[in-house]
Amino acid sequence: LEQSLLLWDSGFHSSWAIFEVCARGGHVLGRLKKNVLLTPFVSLADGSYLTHIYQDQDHRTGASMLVRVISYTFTDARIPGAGEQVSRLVTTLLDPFLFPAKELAVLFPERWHVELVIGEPRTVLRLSARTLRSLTPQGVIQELSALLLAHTLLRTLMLQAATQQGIAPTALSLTETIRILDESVLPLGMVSAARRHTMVLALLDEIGQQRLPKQRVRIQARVVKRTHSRYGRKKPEHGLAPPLELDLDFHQILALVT
Amino acid sequence: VKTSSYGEPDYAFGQRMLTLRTQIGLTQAGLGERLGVSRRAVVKWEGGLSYPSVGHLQALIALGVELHVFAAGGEAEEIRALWRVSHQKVLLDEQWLQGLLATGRPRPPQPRRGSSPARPSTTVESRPPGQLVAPLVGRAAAFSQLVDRYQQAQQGQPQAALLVGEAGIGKTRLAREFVAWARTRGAEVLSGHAFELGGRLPYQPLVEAIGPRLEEENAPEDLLSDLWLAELSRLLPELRVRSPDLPAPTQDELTAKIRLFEAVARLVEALTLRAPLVLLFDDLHWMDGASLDLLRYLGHDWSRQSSRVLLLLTVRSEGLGPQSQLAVELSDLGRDLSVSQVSLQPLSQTETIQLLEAVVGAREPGEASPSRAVAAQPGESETKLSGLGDILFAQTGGHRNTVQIRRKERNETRRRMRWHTRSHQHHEKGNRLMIPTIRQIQEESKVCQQIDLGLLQEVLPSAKIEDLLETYQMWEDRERKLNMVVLTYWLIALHVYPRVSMRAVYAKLVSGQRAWRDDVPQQTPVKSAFSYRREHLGSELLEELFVQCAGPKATEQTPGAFWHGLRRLSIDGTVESVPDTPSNREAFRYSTDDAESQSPFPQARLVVLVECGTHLICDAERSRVPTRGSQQSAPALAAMEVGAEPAAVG
Repeated sequence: LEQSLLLWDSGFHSSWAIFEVCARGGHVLGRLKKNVLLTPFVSLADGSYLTHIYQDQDHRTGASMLVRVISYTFTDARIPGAGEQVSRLVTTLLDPFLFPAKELAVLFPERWHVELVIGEPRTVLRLSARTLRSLTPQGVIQELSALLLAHTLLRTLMLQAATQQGIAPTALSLTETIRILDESVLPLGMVSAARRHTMVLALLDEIGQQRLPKQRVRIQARVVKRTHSRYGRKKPEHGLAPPLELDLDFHQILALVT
Repeated sequence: VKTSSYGEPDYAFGQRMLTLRTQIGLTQAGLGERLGVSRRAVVKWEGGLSYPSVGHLQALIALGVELHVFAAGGEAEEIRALWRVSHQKVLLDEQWLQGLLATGRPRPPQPRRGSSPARPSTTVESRPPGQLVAPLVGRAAAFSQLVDRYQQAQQGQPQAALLVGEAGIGKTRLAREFVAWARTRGAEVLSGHAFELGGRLPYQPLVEAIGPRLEEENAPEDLLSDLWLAELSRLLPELRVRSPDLPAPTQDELTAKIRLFEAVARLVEALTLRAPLVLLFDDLHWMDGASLDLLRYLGHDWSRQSSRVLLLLTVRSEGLGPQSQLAVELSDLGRDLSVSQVSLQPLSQTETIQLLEAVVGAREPGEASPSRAVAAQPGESETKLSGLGDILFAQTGGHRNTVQIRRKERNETRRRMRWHTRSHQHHEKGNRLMIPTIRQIQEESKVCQQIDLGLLQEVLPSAKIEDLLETYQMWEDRERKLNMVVLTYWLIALHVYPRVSMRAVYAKLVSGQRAWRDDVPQQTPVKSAFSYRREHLGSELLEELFVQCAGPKATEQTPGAFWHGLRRLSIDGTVESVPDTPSNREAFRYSTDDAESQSPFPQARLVVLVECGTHLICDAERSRVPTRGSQQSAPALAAMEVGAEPAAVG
């Protein structure tokens, strides 16, 4: 974690976690819940303030460390809660001149990348299938590892393609990469090693051409669309029907009531 | 051998491993490096989440013995106890342990193969199609030189011929062909083969050469008197089994060596009286000093007796520098024998084409040879020709010999370790999820990868998987259609083709290779075969592969990956629903225990650490607790960061 800035959402906030990250040479920028770290210790020029966190936060004992708290709100009236709802961030980057509060607040939405990455294996690689396919825990772990591995390999490939073009890998399309990969499997399997190499270079170049349009500013409220169903909830007893034999048909299992 | 990560952690064992490591005085990363595993693997052992594999445990014990961390006196007991805890199924090799404790400086099994220069490509490792034998092309001059030498030896002028060439140029092939020819002329042939360990195994090539010969001899006493047979029985203990009444070999240290030499000389002498003898020692550059001394002694003896002997040696050109010990020894030998050097050069272009034609002719009788086909339809046949070129390269002198030799060396080392594989295989049937991790690779078996992952294979070369198979001792005793490499690629591809059935994904990946290779099965395995083999593969290999491939990879040049020189990382938790089966329910649990509000399916929970600039997952940790809610996520975070640290540096 050395020389890195770790972004996380309010659910991850704990003073223990911040200590852990700092001990490994990293920095933290995380969102705060409404009710924590409210007492300023020193106010800074850019409107943020410094406060202490303790190794044992509940009792305010143990080693303490200074962190910086930044508050901001949105100004565009189209955003729900703009102007009223105050978001607060905590960070271990204390210097208000090296790291101005506004820059940090603008950086925080980068956290959304993790949600995108979580979405990629699920929606692109698994096509939003309801469940994984393995029936045993061992199989599930194997399947998950393969899923993560597939994502990593694809992204590594895209990084290579983007590096060739000198652009950001996030500007490339994952779905198009998969399409090119799909089309390449058959021809690459048939050619000799030397030819294969030139083909790979050409394909990487093609992946590098699959640019995504520039992303808009995204703001997502933490809400979901409820799905309602007029059917009852499935309970364990509904799964009790025994597996029926293959040659059985309805003639054999129903009788008329007279 | 392993427990699922969701099984009950074995804290006692973990504590033991921790103590052992602190006694050895290594960090987790340091120990991992010593044993060739990731740091995370060590973390898992110490958390009692998994047990080390047999190979790793052996290496660990060997390390412990070497550094005297086991309490003196009770060390054997302590080691046995450690072994019992981690491997109920594999017995401790008592002989190995005794040897280890006796020397205190053992040769621990090397879990990871040493990095071999220029790893041969997959096609080279593949099984040669059919029973195709390439003719010996371009070696006519060398061959006739050898024949000359042989004829002179036959006249009673002992000869030594030295085949010199680069690795893989075809020295062994030529030697074998020549030896076969000599056999047809009625010569007696003894051949020994030095391998890389040779320097540490005195007389190993010699044992290989004369052992089998004496074994097939009906009455060894006819060749040698009991006195000398007794001396030979130092090297070949089986002689004592055949004739238990042999006298004991001399106990005198000083004379033991000379008597052994004399015994061998007499044996060779006795053989040459019956027929001319060709003595082949392959890969002389790996031969141990003792055997070289013996050669020297034999040479002297032969020149005195005018024996009908041709000593045929193959040696790599780089092993024969002017300063090398070997060159000195050989020039010494030259005082007694006439030593001639036969150098092998790479094949010329015409010779290669000749070879190609000969092979294709042998393969498809009646069909036009490809070089002519190329002339007729240049565009169409190009791929076919280059494909054939690959096969050919695998087939002929090229790399195949070196590959086989390397594999043979590996197997030799492996056989030396001789684990209790048989008892292991019995367990395999009864308890399929407890995957046996040790499979011995047989001499004949090969890694035959038959599927191609297209572009992804550039990122994940099969060599990476093979290395892990080596680390986890997962080579199998026979080649299967769905070998471990194929399975790994296939499991990955399942997620690249989510809307295609399992069998169809396999068919897709194999289709390219099917078109031009003979050794790729035309039939797609049935669905249950995939499930069955998935259980064999287990999850550890894939988990470790992910750990190796994952990690932040952006550089300073990657646009948008850094902010004020800080790498931007982001962390969050997620859940994946898993099928609602009893074992899944138990292992993964629902979102809450409350039946009314719980999630419809059991959920596997993941915490992922992502590099924002590249969307690469740097690390992922499964956690048992729900990831929402800060207090509960803390342990998961801790576990993850311990794992993430080495990857995140740089």
